[in-house]
Amino acid sequence: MKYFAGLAAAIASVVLTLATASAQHTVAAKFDVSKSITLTGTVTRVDWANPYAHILVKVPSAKSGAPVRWAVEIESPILLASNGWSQTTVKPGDVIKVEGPPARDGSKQISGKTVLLTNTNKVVFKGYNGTPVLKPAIPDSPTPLWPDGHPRLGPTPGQTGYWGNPSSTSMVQIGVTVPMDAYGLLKNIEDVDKVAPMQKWALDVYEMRQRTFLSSDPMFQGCKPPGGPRQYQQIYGVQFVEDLEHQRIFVLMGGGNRNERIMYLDGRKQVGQRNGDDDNPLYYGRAVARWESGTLVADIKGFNEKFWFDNGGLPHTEQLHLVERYTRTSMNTLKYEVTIEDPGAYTKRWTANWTLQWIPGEELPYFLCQDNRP
Amino acid sequence: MRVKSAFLIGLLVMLSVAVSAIAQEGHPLTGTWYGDFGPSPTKRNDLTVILNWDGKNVTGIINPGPDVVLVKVATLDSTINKWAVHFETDAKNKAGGLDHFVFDGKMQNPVAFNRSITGTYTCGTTKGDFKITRD
Amino acid sequence: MRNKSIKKTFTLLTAFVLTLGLTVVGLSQVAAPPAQNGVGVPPLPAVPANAGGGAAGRGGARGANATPSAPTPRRPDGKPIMGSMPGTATGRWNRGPTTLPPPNLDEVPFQPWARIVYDQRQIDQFEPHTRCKASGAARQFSTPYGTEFLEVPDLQRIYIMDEGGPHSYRIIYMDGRPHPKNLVPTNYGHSIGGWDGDTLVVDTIGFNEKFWIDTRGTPHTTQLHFIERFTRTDFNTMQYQATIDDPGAYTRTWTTPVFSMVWGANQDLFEYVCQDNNKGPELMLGSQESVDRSILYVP
Repeated sequence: MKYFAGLAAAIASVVLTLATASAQHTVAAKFDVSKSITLTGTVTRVDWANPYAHILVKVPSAKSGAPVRWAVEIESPILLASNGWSQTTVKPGDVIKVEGPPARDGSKQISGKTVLLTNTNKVVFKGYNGTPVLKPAIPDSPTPLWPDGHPRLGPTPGQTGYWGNPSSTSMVQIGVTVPMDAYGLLKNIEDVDKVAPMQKWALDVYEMRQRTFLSSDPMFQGCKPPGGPRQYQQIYGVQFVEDLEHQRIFVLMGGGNRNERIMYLDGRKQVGQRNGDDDNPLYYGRAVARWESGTLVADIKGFNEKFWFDNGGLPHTEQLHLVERYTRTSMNTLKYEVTIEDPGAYTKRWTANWTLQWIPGEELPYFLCQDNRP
Repeated sequence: MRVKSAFLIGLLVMLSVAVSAIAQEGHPLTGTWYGDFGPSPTKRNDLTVILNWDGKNVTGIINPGPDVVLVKVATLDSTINKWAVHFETDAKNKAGGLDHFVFDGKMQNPVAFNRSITGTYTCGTTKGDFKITRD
Repeated sequence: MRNKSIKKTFTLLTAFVLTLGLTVVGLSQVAAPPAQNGVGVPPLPAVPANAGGGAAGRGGARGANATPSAPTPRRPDGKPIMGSMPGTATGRWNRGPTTLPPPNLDEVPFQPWARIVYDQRQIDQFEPHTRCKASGAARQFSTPYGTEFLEVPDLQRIYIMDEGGPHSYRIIYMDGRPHPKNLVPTNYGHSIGGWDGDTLVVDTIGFNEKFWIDTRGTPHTTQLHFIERFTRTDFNTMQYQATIDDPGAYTRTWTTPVFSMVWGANQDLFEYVCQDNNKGPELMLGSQESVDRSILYVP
């Protein structure tokens, strides 16, 4: 990401300050952010994997016993690399001093708030868990079009790029603003009932998920896919591949498990994928779409209840029915608007919207949720 | 034949709940719960409860199989720190009449995929306890 | 215990019902392809018969709904169409190679460590794919659900979509670009493709070591330079052959036998999520809790 590199260059070149939301979940889901500990240890290994790279260190024991192995969780290799890190920025044998919150479950894990290399006395990493920094402006141009006049959702011929930098990383109904962190964790728990028109059970579940720091998130726990609007809340973005020869649009996802899903534009009925499969509810639902002048309107239903459709943990049921509107207002901006209709969880239909930014010249970052699991 | 029709009814009932039974992030009561109930620690009976939420009511069955019974009422009070669960059913007894069971419990770990419900039940003059865990 | 037998009956019945739904292959609701698709390909003959050529994998058994072996379809410029014909119902390539070495393992120039690892893998079969790890090289073609070749002429690339397993995709760049200098190793590597007559030759480097290149764990290292040759010999048959150039695991370059994939007509990609209901949490995905990274697992 070129402008991240530019941003990093503007600061001392060795200090990593993350310019936008970090990878998968709020630090508070795994670490007790009300505490802070400091460790000094020798690096034994750098585990360079998504969703988070880890530095394994041996920390001398307080009593004179065997040194204890700790894992320091930093950031995804994608973000680290875009900020000048490599697998060897910190090497086995280096002594580092780490400050940050410890794991809630008492295991020997710490989230790296700052990481300092003792032989240079320089801070090589500063993690964060807060509001994204403003992105530098990229020159804009009019919406690129296909010969038949409808907007291109992908690059112009010969180019590449993807949609990233979501302007919002969790859903709130239009007309409401509540302070949240970059993962949808509310700053004030009293704001729970403002977020969307939830039925009582849904509001209570949403509040519970918020109070437990979103740690019950199936994507965090088991790499379940980011179905529904959630795929457009991921910083690793999406690409749309328009398969004109077969009237389909593939959504390729940079976040989650690097899955693909399909929107069908051939006028077919929104039915099951195989004979007799009509009722099988899916993570990504069944999507049909059509162009309404410059807006792609997609209709999706047939969702299961095994995932979260929003980073902040708003609930849904199998009755979820989404209508999505994609409008590329210019080369650099995609407006995404979604209407949520779910009589199982919400008291009425509601709408949220945000924008995605075109990141030119780059492919989707290579991210696999399941990478960092055994 | 009685056995065959019971099997078919059981199959139909199971099919109608099969899909929702594997959900876990929707309504907290949705799903299949396994456990037991009984008047004392040594006298236990199997308890399998399959529940579904349609947007207004919770419906379901208990102990799928030849002795399956329908859930008459099931409610969840998800108020914070309460998470009270209540369900009732009628089961045929040996005399050919109906026994009315009332279960009242509290849901533990309501946002975990393997949440559980523990509580007490009454059936006429019999009292006891139950525990079921979501699979 | 009665409770367990009820659970087992319920599970079996549900599995039975779901299996009924899933094994009905080819009876899609998609309309029959139009007679003329405007790219110079003759209309498909009306009478289906199983005439698919080549030694097929398990997918070959589904050939009952395949059209007879019409010739290789081509684009106006004469290049073979590797996926679904424009304007027609989409299809897939059913299972291809499962294990790359020839039947006689002595013909494979293993380095000694690689042969030992290969033999051990036949015993424990602890392959990453079953733990939902995206798996490149030939492993992508080894699931029963096959792959879809999505040709996107406008982008000058071909996507190979996994149907099963990780349900992800591989990109083959067809625009003549070289491999970049500083590749971060990935599960699928970096693939560039070009034509050798009617054969699509795909050259891939930049693999990591977190997956197996076939179902049997034929070893590889990050030095792997993998060359695949795809030839659509007729409408229903894709031949596949690979050359393994990996000085980290083999004493010289070697080439696999020729394998075949059979075309599955009228098959849409369906959703498959590997993580969906895996009940072996101790083997994958963090046991439903946040992973303790201070304890190292064997990958």
